[in-house]
Amino acid sequence: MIKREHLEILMESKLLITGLAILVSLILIAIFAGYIAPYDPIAQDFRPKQPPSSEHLLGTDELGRDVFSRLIYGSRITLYVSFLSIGVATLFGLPMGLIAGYYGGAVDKAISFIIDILLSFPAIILTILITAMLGPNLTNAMLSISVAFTPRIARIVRGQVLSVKEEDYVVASKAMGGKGWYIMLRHILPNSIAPLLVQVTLALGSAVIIESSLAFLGLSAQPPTPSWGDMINRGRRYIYTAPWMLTAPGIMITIAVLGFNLLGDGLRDVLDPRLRRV
Amino acid sequence: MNEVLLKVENLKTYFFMKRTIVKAVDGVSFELRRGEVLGLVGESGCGKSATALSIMRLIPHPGRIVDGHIYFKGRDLLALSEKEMRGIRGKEIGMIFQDPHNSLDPVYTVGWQLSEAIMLHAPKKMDKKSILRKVVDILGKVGIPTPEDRHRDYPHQFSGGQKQRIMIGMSISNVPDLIIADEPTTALDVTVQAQIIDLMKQLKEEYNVSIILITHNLGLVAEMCDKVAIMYAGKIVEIGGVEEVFYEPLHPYTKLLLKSIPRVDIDMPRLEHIPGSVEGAYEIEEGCRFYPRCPMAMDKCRDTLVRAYSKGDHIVYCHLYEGGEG
Amino acid sequence: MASHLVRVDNLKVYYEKKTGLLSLSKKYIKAVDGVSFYINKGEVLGLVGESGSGKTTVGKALAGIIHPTSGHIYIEDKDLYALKGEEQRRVKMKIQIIFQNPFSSLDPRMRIKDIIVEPLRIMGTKDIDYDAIAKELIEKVGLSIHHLNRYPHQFSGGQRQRIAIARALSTNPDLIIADEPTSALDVSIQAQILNLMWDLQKELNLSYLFISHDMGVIRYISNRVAVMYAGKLVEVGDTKTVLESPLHPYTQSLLKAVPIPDPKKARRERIVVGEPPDPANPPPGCRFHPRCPHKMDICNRMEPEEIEVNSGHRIMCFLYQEK
Repeated sequence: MIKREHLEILMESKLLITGLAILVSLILIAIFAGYIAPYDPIAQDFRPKQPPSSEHLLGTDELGRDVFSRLIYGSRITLYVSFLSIGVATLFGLPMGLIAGYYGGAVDKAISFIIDILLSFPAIILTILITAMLGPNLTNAMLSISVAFTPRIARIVRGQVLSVKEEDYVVASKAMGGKGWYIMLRHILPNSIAPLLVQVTLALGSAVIIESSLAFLGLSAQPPTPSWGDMINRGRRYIYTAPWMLTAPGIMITIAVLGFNLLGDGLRDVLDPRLRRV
Repeated sequence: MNEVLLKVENLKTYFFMKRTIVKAVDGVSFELRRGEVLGLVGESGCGKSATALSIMRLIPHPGRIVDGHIYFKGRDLLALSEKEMRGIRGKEIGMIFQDPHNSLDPVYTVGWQLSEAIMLHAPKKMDKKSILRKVVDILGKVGIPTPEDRHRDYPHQFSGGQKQRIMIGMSISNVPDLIIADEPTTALDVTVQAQIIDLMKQLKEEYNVSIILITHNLGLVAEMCDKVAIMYAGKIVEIGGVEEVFYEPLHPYTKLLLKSIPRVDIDMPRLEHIPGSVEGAYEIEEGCRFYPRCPMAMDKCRDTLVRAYSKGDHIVYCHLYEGGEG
Repeated sequence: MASHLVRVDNLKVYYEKKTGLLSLSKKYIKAVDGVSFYINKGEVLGLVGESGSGKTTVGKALAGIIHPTSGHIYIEDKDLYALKGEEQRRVKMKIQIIFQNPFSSLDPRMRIKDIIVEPLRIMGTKDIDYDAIAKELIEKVGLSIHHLNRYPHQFSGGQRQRIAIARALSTNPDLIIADEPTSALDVSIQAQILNLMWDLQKELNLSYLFISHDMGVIRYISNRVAVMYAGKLVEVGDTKTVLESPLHPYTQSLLKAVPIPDPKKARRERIVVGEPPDPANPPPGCRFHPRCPHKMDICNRMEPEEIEVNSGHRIMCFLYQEK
């Protein structure tokens, strides 16, 4: 169903194209890490803290591992965590918001109450709390991010539903005798997807930062698994003697977050005027 | 006859969109005498509002006035600097908008907003007392009861009709020569609309102000205007005295338009309707823009530039009248 | 009485108004406050009134969108809101609604062919060829079958209203509630839609409840007219009788206020003062009394009863109470 004119509109947004390019490259890097990385990311084969050279593009770390290879493999953890945790958050947040917004009344009050409580914690504090309680590992890190973002997604969906449900085509469907679930799936959900997509993309960017922060605190994937947050944490101790250890993952995190944010903003530009026109 | 107050000559206002140019106003000419009321009539998107905003020089981006002259009291408004133009807006030309609910700022009292409108153009600094006196005087004049108390109230404390009265008060506060009213009663109920029209008529007599009434409602034009210009797709197709245009319409569009209004005062067996839609009309460069929908269309309507034919003050832009007085 | 297609009996629709966080007393907006009327088979009843008169709420209650606070709506003598489940749905399918704004009444993500037959799909009708029905209906409303695969944003306001009409026709309804179906459209397009609705009404022997604030439109399309003011019905009767010799002072002032596109008929009389009341706080007695030029003592103390002056011409006004 994608027509030429749709593609043209997509191409018009430079933000979207740049963001998309960054993310596609990152995803390709993560998938083909095994082919791109010159060395085993875990093998402590080399002289520690070597500065960048033609042999080790980004030098080696304090245990003699190739920083470039660790960086390549690190993208896997970052993308894996952010996509999966935000995916799970959407899986739970979407129906919550849909039901709260559509039915209103006591159901809405109950769901909104839970959302408000969860939202009163900053996302990072909530995730630290949960991983600290459940034990520091990758699964718990993902779980905590999902918990932190579920209410955010739910609130966005709820707001969207509240505005869409006032549209006459929803009222018309009710007048025809359409049942709740039918109206939600047939009319409300398809018309709420576009703004949700924008918010989910931006949430992915936030998830990258939170995952890296958890890893930095040692609350995410455990060593020796290469992860950007953990690399920064190690590099921090050698900031004066081996600055490449810290700089390289720092830049990668920035690029990844930038990619998601550009894509999100671009999507907003592209989707909004179309929404207004229809 | 009174002097000519406003003379618009071959006005062209185009909107430069990403892929296309929309010629929203494309060669509009008319004149308005002091104390006269001109109705600018047409369906949505015909360029009537763009014409009004062009006179105020308030065309929003990506629109631009590309050609023509707007002589107001002898001066070409298009040649003035932005600073000089600011001195004219709200002072010599007042404007009333369609939606009274959005035209007033909700965070200030109506008295404060009215006094701001007065002070912006006051020749010398006025003391608080005389400003307040003037505010109360204007509110009373536009029919707000107990203005000495109500000037302290905020916009939400007034009804829609009252807000429109206040907007009218603002527009006359500096005794302008011309008021441009863009669909001033469209958002109001019929009984309130009638009151607002009465107020505008009464103020017109009192101040001898000229009015351009932009509307899609031909009933309002019949009730209030001396002259009427019918617009279609960026061009005036017919202009003349209200009685001439209503009783002896010349342009096929005007004729159909008048017959397509369901009327409350007489029985109508079946409404005439204009087939098709205005879509695509703006792309017509040389010919008549109404040609694709016109029941009287001839071959030359497609590609021959339409000239003005006049019978006294009654001017029509249509090939049917070729050979008549030109 | 059995001959009426629709009979509305003392219909009331109240909304709860939230007056603030701490206020203990609940306030009610009496959008519709005791309205009774009927519509015959094949008849067009025009419902006029200004904003806040409750005319749209009456329409929505009839369409089954708003549950009435009290009162009854009988469709062919079946009490719509007393019926349950399948039977109520069957009766409801005989009533369809067309909305004012054609830009929000069609789902932008659905194709025209799906929009038109949506009522049938919801009803769960089986063993029918939806595409064939969509094809038949789209031609009936003056569009063509190649429009069926498009989306709403590719159509103009008038065309969208045609699509909405096609959708309303899909269930073979007896009554169509048309809520200001032409007030968002330009005059020339309005004429197209009115003519279409006129033709369909004759061809299919439909009944309309035609809601509008435009007296000209009402005169053109309706056989009888009902005038509402602040939640009450103030005058009902044959269209020509009501519009040419109105009895209720409100109807009289309303008609005087309508601008007529004829310069020689320009209004000279002074017209009614003030504005319609806030529906949350209507005046006591007759709701029009603060604006009424014929106000009497009794008008702010008591509510007038409905009286029939001539056959079928009924009004609520003390001026005519003795006669």
